[in-house]
Amino acid sequence: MLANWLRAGVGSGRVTTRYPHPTFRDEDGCRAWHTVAAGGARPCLAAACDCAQICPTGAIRFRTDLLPEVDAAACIGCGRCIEACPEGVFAWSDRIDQAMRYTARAEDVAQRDWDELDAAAAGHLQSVFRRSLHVRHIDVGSCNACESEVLALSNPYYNFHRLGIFFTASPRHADVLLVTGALTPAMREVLVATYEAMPRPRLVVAAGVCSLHGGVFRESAQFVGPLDQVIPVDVMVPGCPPTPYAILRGLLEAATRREKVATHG
Amino acid sequence: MRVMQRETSDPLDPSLLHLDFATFARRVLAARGNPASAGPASDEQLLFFGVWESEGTPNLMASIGNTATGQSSLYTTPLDVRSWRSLAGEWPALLWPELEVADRLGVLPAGHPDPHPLLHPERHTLQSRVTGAGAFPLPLGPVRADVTESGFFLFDTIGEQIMHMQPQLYYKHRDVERLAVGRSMDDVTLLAERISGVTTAAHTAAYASAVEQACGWMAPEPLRYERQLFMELERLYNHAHDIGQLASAAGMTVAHAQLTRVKEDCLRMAARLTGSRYLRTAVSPFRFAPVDWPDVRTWLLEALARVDARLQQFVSLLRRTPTFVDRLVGTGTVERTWVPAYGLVGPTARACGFRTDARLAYAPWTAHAGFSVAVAPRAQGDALDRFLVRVEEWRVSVDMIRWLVSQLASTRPTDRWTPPEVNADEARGWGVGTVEGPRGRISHVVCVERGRIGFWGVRSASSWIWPVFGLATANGNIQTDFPVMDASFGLSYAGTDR
Repeated sequence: MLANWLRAGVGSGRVTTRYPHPTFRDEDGCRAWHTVAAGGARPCLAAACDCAQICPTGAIRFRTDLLPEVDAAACIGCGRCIEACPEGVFAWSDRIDQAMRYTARAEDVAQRDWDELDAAAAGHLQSVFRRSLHVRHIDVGSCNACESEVLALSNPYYNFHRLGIFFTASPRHADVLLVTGALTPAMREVLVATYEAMPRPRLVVAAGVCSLHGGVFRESAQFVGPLDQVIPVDVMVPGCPPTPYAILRGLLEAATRREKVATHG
Repeated sequence: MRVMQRETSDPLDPSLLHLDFATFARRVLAARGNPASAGPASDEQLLFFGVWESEGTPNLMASIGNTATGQSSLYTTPLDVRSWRSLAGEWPALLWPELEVADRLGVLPAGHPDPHPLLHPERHTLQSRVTGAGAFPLPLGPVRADVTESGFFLFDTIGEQIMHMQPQLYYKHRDVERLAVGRSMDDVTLLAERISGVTTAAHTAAYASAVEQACGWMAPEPLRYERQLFMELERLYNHAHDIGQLASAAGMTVAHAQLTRVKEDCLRMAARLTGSRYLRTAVSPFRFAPVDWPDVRTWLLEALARVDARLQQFVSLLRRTPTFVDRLVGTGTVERTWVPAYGLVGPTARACGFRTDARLAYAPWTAHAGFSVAVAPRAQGDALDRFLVRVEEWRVSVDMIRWLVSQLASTRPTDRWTPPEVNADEARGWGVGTVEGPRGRISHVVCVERGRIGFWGVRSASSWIWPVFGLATANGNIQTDFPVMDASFGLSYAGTDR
């Protein structure tokens, strides 16, 4: 039986992506996946229509030069603006791996662990952790699509182990907390306890519109608020749900954040 | 512009019947099955049970489906909170639905067998129920190993043996149904897509058919085909996921890797079809998906053949591997009497030998598309039977997709692209939509008022099954078997918590 399994496993061939290697291109048409909408490169002159109102999460804003902007952290990828706009100023973003460093919005609740370190300590920790990243995932109120995409990271296509990234069972062994979902009152305390259980310095990756903004659940009485109002966030991964490439990019961004802190200490 | 007239053979618009409590209780309890028989003892099924707050006064609401006619009825009774009597003692299927109503209104029904807060786990600590020498409570969750949804389990163990287990859900309660009230039908579609993110097509199809019924519109045949195809594709990736998780729980790493590959292939098929890996925006009321079926037919059939071959190869290896099968036999057994008692649905009920499937009753046309009910031949209700049912359902779904895509590809595009004429501002009425999702029957009850949603009730498949999960876990099993049981049920937290 063991021989059969070995034969079947080895005989199935390799499908693993080259991402994030520079030679990565469009694998299996992934560039056509609808991720988030993006504002066009040209201004919209038809001021009469109401695409800002069409957006169910209020992600669309017009700059003073009438160039439309889509807040990726709020876009759920429903495609209504793309469908509705007669001028065609919106399009699907062809970035399938969008992830951003956190930029403070309203209030930045707490200082990041890394900010408290001096350059020497950060540099030392970075050299200790450089080659591997242990991730604890927590679902604080998601629809389960994000979990499905996070789980996909370990399938043969994405195989994040090749990059030295692993899931860990206990927050006490985790470098990164990967958070998905619209934070509910029941999960608030659990989230904070999980975060507190992690060894310092910690990193937090907020994945999916629900954790960044609330998405379609923003108006719910059961929604506590965006994640950055409860714990410090280091990297934001937009998408509803984010693609596995985007989550991978978010984790890699988190790892390099340490290096930046170390060099600019 | 054409408006499809409702034909006599189609499900009638369920008229909302206002009853007194005694009649309401009798109607609801009549939907209980007969514990003694494996067939449908009663033609009636409870599709939905919840609270409808109309002009400030609470009403109990139930939807009963008739499996013989495919029609659904809606019953409601004003809820006098002082004299509200629990029916859960007579029918355990109502245990959780009644607690949900109780939490929303802040009043417990008299005589409820297991009163505790359900919707707000932060206000409640589960108590261990086993005492004595060697008894040990073992809490697990809400954050636990691997990447999972959040839920809590309290095991009472003696040694390795699980004596009792209580699941605590609703950590992810987002109050989706109440969020819908006052919104447009299209905006609520976005919520329906996100009740359970991996059951998007099934939930939106149930929602869409409820809304269309409320507006007095009957989906034309190609639209029904298209939605069924999306639902079968969704079943494929969910079943691949569940079988893969089961293989992982039993330590079969090669099978797990290969089945996650099958799942990814199915998600990529969905993305190539609709742009969305999770079939978002594919199903919405009154509308076709922008898919050029004649164009996709060739590659879809080829891709389907490839994933089917891979799944069959590894499933057949699993079935011949004693270390895998041994872990499944007798693990997490669901007793036959629990199926009618708790109103169980989906692969869990079919693993006990019950021929229950929403496609049978509410989409009988699927028989032409190659649908047949997958019932476990052993009918033992254990993890092995749930595995075998999923394997058989995979085969049926592959056949159905082949038939459906051929039909859709031969329909002229002009026929498919006729948009319906519905005056959204005037549309009003009640509708019930029922479909078979990957985990079982999903029902949506909708009230449309002047084009906006006035009431939305959702019952996902997992919400019927969760109450027996603890019973099956403590049914002669040891702690080490929990991952196998967990994976073999494959229940959704998000769909239940909603």
